[in-house]
Amino acid sequence: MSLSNDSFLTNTTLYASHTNYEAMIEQIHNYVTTCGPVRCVLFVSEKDAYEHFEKGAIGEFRVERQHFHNGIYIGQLSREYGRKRKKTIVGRFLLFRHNERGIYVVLTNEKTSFFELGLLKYIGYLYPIFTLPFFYSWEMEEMLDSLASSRPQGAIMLTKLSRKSRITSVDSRKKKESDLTWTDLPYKEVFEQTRQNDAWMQKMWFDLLEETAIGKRKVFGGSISRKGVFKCELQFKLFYETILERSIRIFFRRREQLSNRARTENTNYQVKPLFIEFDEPIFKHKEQNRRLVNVLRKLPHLAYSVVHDNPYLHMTVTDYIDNSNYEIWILSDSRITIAPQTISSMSSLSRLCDHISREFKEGLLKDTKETA
Amino acid sequence: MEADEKEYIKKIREQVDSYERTIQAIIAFDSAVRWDDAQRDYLSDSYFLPGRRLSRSPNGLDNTVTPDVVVQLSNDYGIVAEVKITASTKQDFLKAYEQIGHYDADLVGWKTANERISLHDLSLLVDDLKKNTAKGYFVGRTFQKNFILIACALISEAHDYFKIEKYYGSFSNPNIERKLGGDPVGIPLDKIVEEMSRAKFYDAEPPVEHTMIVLWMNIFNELMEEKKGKKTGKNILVNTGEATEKLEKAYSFPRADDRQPKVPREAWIRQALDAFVEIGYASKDSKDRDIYNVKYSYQRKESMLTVFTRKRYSALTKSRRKIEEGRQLEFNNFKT
Repeated sequence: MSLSNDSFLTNTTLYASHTNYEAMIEQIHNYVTTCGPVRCVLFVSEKDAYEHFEKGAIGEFRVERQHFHNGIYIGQLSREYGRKRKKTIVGRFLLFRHNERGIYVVLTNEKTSFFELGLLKYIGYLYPIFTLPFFYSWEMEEMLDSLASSRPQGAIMLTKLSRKSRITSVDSRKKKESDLTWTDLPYKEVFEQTRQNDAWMQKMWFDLLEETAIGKRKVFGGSISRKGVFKCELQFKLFYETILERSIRIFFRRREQLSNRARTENTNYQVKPLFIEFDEPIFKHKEQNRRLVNVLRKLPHLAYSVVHDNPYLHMTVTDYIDNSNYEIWILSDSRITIAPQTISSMSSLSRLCDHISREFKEGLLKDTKETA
Repeated sequence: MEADEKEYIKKIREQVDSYERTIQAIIAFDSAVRWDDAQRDYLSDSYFLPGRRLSRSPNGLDNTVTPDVVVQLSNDYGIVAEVKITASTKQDFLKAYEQIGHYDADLVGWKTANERISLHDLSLLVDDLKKNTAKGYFVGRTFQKNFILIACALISEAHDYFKIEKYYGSFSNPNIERKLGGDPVGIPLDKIVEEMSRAKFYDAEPPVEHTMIVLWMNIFNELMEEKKGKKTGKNILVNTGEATEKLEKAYSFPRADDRQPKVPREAWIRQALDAFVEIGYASKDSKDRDIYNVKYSYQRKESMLTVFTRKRYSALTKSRRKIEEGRQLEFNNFKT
């Protein structure tokens, strides 16, 4: 099927009948260079994502296909929402699957309101079939590292950032504080500062500056969020080859790490634990066991049972969304052990690890063979 | 919360904790004896045989014995052990002594061609805090086989570990004597976390609340998953036999052969399901006594162990009150 109104391809055409993957990337690049920014989000799907988009109406959402060829899907999404006064939001999007790693990218040039209240809500609505990623601060830094190494002559400056950090004072009622900062600092400096303050990054806005005849000029920019939401300005190919490729690689690795962990008859019910390792002995203070229990208590649709909480922590949890179940142990000062039981989905493990990293502390996800 | 209720919850928590600690002690003891640091694996041709049914030979009156743990190190040597982590009184140790006495004979049922072994030792695992009391009780009592008292303690340091200390007696096998005869052996819990995550039952009856938790968190979710897509609401039908089999396969120690008991017992599962009926979370099928209809609803405010224990306390108090009232009524009727 081809698009009637966009069949005449110009630099301002985003939703075209792209013939193949490379042509699509080229065309998005032309669009961004000429017309303005695009936003995109990554997700993985348990089954063929196109089939879900093809379903048309789901809940408040309606998807209409406008083009589908060679894994490139162009559609229009509308959502009717609101309790008392109905509101409708409509917009177009482009969906494609990464040519090597099978991660889906959905991209639009529509306004933020459509992106957040339409597209992101739609993908979230289809959880656990669709799963959004989460990125640790150092992984967001890695994405900028990748950009920096491809443009060594440029300077990557963070212009705005949203961070969270733990409040350590025992008198405070809140356990976390957030800050939204407008700045103009080299990204490495900001990340170093973030680490020192035991904070973690939620979202960051960056500019790539390069020396030109008329002085330093912004040649590329955008934003990266820990939820896998990106904005790209001025150059799409550079964004695709550095930041997007790196984020897809990280997400792919995470999907592999969190998949196939259930104890099944085929593997003689072997336990395949996962570890979240922290860079400090956080559980030296046993009140942190209780804090972790409280953090997990707040994760929606999770039932838990504390079997033991001092000196070691042992709890069992069940995710009511897809019935995944885990044992959670704290048996060392700097590590949480998650032992998936007979039902364990990648989506559920990802939701659990993301929640721990946001609400408790960011730690490194490891496999048995990676632990000391 | 009433003081009695608090006390009851505390008591149940302690019982559940002791049950789990006993399982951990069994795993840690096996690891201390069978793990080979050089190979970074369990000794080849060795077996971990918890709850194994062995027969006394020549046939005695009480022919079959079921020690808590049987560890076979080779075709010639094994250890038969009882685990009494909660033992503290003279009576507890007397009972342990009598039990161990039953294993003080040639036993049949080992993993060898003729099911016999040339040599085995006897062992008792006790809590570290009770090791002196236990020792005092066993010193001077003789067995034909070597008897070894093992003290276990959970130690919390940078890595939590189980301390396994040979406190009294000697192993007849020089390798094991060398391994456990010196300083206490530390078994880091994170090295045995896979076994600890799997084994929820051993060959002793658990507190009912423990079984309720295992069912709720590990079996009902599976049953819910199995009926996915069927529009039957949040209710699930639980068959006692099927639930027992699921638990036996995935949540107890792997069985080497038919000499290993099937754990958990169906009676324990039935008891836990009856407890769900008591607290209003399930109802019995009117025709089939093996079927329970469970209302599997999402709750997250509190630890499920606390929820079930509190609800059981309230159900028990109510039924006690009813009995009291009934008695009072009978008494009043009798008076008039």
